[in-house]
Amino acid sequence: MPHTPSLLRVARRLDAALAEDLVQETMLLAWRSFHQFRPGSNARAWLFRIMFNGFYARGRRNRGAVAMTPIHEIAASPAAQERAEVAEALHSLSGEHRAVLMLGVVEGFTCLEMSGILGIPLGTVMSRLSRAREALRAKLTPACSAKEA
Amino acid sequence: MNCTEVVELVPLYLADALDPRRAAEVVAHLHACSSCARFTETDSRLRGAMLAEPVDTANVDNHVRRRIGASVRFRRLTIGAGIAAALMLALFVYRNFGGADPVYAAAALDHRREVVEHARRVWVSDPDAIAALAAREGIAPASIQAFSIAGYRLEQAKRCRLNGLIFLHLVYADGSHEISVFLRQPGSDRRHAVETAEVGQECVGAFENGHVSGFVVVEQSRQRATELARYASSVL
Repeated sequence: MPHTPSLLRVARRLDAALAEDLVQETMLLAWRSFHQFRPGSNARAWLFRIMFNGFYARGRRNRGAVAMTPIHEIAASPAAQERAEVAEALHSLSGEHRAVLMLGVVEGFTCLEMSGILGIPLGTVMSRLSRAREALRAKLTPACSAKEA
Repeated sequence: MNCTEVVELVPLYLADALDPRRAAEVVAHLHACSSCARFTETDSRLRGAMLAEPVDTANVDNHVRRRIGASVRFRRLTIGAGIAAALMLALFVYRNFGGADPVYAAAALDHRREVVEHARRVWVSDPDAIAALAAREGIAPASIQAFSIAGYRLEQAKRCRLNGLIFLHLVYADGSHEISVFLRQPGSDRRHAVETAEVGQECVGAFENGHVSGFVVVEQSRQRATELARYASSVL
């Protein structure tokens, strides 16, 4: 199933405890509703939209949790430490900011596609993404400064 | 290229999904704009960290495959059961009614059991008693007297119920064959003037003429049933 890793990666940032359930429901619902899919449109965006609809329906928008990288891995490699650091910074943001960052920056959706997936106006997506980037950068600034130094 | 465009294109640039010309434009902007360069660095870190995280989809894939498999099997089973039920119903109707209107089948069955196989029933055979029975059912006795089948004579009569409707059942015999005539006043179950059907070994001719509605049941042929039904329709 080609899009499952992307869905699961984003779902874990929405709600780590329910991520697998959310993706399973998404894939099953997509299978049942496949007649509603318009051929030629973006199947990946369609799947993400189903997943976000399911997530909102669960009413757990604000119950995000990050699947933290294990401690021994952090100690074991600088790459793992970097992952944990970024994950922690992301986790400290609001659910709305995490969603636009994961969709826009990590999964590469355009603002227009995110507007469809999240069901919000394009202008809102753009401003939310801008603020989310600003917030994440502020969280990561010490690391940036250290790198620059 | 302005900052708004670059902000939109940076994820694609980081994913190496831009064509060389656009990528060069983004790079040129990033060299000139420190604000966008900082966002790009943050984006790059986020993207790198998230994509490097291991994602194990085995549980999800297996679960989804199992559920879809079960759903497909259930759907096939439901469709199969539906088809089987429809076939059994069709077979039941065909065997019992020969595909004909149920009241035709009831007339044919009544003739087979009560006339051909002589099931024990109370019949009246006296002409006056038959006339009185006909009058009670709203059938003009004179029209029954006028109805005669060459070589046959009116032998007996009784009331009977076919598919919930009361009929006057007349039996005409020639010594070796019997013909049943079922009559009633026309009701709401109006049908075509004359129509015939084969039901098992019997042929049923149905008729209706505004005064009377009924069936002629014979064992000879469908054509014979049609002829007698037309005749009944014109005389009764």
